[in-house]
Amino acid sequence: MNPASDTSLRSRLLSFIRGLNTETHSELDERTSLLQSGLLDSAATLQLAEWIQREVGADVDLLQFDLSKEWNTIIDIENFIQRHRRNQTN
Amino acid sequence: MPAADYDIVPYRPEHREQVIEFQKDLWSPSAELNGAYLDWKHLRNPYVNEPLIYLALSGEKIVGMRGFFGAKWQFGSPRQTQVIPCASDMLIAPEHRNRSLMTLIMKTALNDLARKGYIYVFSMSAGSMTLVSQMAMGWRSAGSLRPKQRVVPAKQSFPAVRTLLKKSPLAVSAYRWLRRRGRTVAAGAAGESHGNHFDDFDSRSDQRRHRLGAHVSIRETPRTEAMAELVARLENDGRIRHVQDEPYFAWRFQNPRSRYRFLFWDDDARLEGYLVLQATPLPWMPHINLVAWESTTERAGADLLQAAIELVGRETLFTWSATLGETEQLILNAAGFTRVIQTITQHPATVLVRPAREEMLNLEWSVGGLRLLDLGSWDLRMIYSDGF
Repeated sequence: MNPASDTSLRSRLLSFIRGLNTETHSELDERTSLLQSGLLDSAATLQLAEWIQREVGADVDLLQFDLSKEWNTIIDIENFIQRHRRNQTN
Repeated sequence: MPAADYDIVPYRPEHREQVIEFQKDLWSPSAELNGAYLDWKHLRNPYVNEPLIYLALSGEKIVGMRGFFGAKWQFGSPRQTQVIPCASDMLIAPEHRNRSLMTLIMKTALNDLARKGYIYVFSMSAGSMTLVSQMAMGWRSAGSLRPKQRVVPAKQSFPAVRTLLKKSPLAVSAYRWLRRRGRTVAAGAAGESHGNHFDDFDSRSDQRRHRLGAHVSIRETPRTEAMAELVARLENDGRIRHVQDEPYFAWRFQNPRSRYRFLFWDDDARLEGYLVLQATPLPWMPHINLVAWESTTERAGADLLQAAIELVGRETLFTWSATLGETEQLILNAAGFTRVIQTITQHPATVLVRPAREEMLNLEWSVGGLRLLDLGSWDLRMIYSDGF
């Protein structure tokens, strides 16, 4: 699957992140820095981690990744999820 | 509230009373206990000259805190040592959460630590929320500490008791009174320094002392000199571990938020092994932790674990297993320890690492030629974490 074509995942992700932090509504797009900028605080980041863990499955050990890079933007997170879904189906 | 409205300042003595009150949400509900904990961990820490605590102030009020306690690590052969502080004590006041305050405190703290000459910082006691946030700020995990536990299955209720409770209102009242009394006793233990998971342990220990074998003894205090001498005698494979000398042991086991029991294995008056159990008086921390376990022989190690299992009775025993040797792993498995299921958001147990300087984030992180993100570089014990 072409990552860019999964509009359903992207829109769900965008909607989820907008639901986490009302202060980000106006400025949030798929290239906004979520983590390195500190836009998402600890509670929001934990909820995001739980959401991603559900999307990729519990078998993926999130501890092994550099989350500041892998999850920094909506596009990064989308790529992360799709890459791990692909790995699980192969 | 914008970030500009917060002041991030280093701890000063005039903050003491506010810190003790503020940490009632994290450390304990007791001001006395929190004061003792602050003194022990940060002010009497043997590895730093000043407390490494960073506070977020809104006006004069503390609304956020991040501490780093001093820790001295050894690695390589010949042995090198380096003080590398460990992150702890993260707390943001509820009404100031979700405003990037944790990021602000952490950035200020890391800049200050870098300025003071610290190259890396470690973290071994982060709960899920802090762990994920730290990883979002560039901290990396060296891997799972592979927690293992030994759980004794719950006893089946006696059918005869159930039948009695169904038939007799008096029995139901008596049963409820006993349950309430049990809860009151437990709640009292939360705020007081007495009453702990070791009550049953101590009672069994008194009864069975003569049956634990000729070599095993139990104490409530460490034998700091003998323990340090034993550690020095063990083969040093050069992995990264905390320095375990006499001053370390003397300081480490004074943690006022923990209770310890020490099991020793002696032969001809020489210490050949020790095992340290830890528990907290807080009733919501349910198990006893095996926080340190060293021996010169397989027999001593196995005897100590067997004695510990006998004495803890039905309490769950918990430990980290990731960096234990093959022999210790086999002994644990044979004793019924099983792996605890963990994810990043549930029961995380890991060592996190980060350079203090931003410009090192894209370099290889290492000390003495050992890669910090390779779990094989480490020899980790639960006593290295301030969580125990």
